[in-house]
Amino acid sequence: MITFVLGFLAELAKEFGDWLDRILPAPGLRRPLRSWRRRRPFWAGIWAMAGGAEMIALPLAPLPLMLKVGIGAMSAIGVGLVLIAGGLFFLFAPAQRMFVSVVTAIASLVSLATTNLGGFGIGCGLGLLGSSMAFGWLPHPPRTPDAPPQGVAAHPKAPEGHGVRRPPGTSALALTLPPLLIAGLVTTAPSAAARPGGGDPRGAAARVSLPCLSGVDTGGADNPDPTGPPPSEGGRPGRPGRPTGTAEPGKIGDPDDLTALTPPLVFGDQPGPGRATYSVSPYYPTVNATRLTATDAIIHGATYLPTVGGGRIKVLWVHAARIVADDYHLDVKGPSGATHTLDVQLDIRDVDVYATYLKGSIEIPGLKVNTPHICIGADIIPANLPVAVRLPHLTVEPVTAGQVLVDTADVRYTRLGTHPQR
Amino acid sequence: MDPEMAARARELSPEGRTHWKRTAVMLVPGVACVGAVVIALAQGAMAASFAVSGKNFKVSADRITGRGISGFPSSLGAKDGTGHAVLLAGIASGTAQGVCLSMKQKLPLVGEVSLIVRSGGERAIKGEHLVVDADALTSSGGRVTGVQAGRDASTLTAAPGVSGPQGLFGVQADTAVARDVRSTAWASNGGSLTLDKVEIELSHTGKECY
Repeated sequence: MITFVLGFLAELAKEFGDWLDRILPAPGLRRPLRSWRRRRPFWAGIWAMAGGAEMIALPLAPLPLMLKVGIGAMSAIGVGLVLIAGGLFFLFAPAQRMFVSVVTAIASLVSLATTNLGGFGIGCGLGLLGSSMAFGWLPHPPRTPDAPPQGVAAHPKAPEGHGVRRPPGTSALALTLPPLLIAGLVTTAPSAAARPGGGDPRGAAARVSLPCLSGVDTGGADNPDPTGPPPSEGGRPGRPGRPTGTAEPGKIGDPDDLTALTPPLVFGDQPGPGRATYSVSPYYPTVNATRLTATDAIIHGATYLPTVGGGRIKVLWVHAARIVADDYHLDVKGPSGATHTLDVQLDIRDVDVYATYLKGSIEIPGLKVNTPHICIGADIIPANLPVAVRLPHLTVEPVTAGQVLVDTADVRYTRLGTHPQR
Repeated sequence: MDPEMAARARELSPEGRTHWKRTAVMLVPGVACVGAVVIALAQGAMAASFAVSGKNFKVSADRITGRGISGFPSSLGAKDGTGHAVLLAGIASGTAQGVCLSMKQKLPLVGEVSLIVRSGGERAIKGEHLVVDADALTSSGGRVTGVQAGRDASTLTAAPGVSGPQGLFGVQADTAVARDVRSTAWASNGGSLTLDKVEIELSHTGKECY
């Protein structure tokens, strides 16, 4: 029964092939090509090369990055190249197909572990099919008029003088096995990527009419010796009236707690974990928040942070035991000029904030009254003054800052969303 | 074809054909090996390496933890100036639970097909040395420790081998825990993943992870 069906299909494919031969143009050109194709495991080579190309085509990440990441990313290219080279061998050096087919079969199997599950199974499948077909390909033995060729006994012998036709059923099978898999690779339908969130509704909320208090660099002492150890935890002055360690939720916004208001100034050694010593990016983001509450804040004044090129940025330096930022919004420019935005609700502990300027309306402690919008640039404050102002409780709403650096031990966040803005 | 010509062609290099029985000698053990490897991967007995990218490639996870994370804004395929802006994140090691990955493709004749892969339902997926280019990312909440936001991207040290161009805004962190993560990932590269119970689903209805 199966033989009958296969025979029928083979006959059908043969008829189709003959019909195709009649209608296609340029028979003179196709005949030598067909002869060339039949003298080597043509489809085996095509499938092996397609499998290799698919494995290489899948990761479209920038090559320098993949080189940096190392063996994991490079294996996709390595295995893919082995398959492509094997396919070329099948086409142009069919005599070596035995050894090469074993190598490509092994490479196909290895690709499962090293290359995206073998190019999501497609590259692995094509590679294995191509290898096996090349392994299974045999040239026709020199024919004698009586004996049928070995290995093709099941098939009718091609008539003499008509060339040796590959039984059409097999060529149809070789052709139709993987076309659907290929089809999936050539189409990459472009469509807009998902972008959660829309525009920022608070865009105008933090606009201020007062100009920034900036423009004059007051200079000041240069960077502290970076080789010196940062002040240790034990070197910090005590925090009168406040529990040391991390702040606890619920402790914020207690207007009756005035004990920590004295002393407001800290002389001598500046408390806190010490100024950051690593290089920062000069392309710092602009951030804003509808409301920012800092607990046990120490305003160090102004200082300098180094950049990689040997430059430095003058910044305001504030340390806080805890900062809660509502509707924190960050805009930072990427290398392509596109702006990335980040929206998040933040609750951060033991944090140092370095900003080129701060502007906002400060809530006066104890009173439910806000000052007008104030804007202070880092450049008007002399750097590295041996004075720090301690504020047990600082609320700014809304706030905008040129945030050069945030160095914090612990960030808790909710409702984070980030996406590029075009 | 002229018989003489055909004879010449055979002398040059004989015509042949694919013998399917012979093919099966290699194909059947090969497919068996593929099956064994797939089972090993799905059971988490073997780590797999990934490097993928493309549009409509969505990833979601119930919970992700990471150790040693570096990130900076980047762009992909910027040759013609229409580069796609992404956030590049390198993760030294991490785990993920309840991971779903979906890809949507338009195929000729078949129409729109989406491939959905789920894993890490019971045991967390483990990964090492991952590089992810995320287009958009959301998370309902989480915690990050040891954060340095503003460090020059060329001096990032948290994830080995991942640092950006000089002067770019960079972020790094010691550890991170994120819940309900949803990302339109543009590319994911390198590293090895140890999977757990992989479910693969093909859908015609345009179903995706989210």
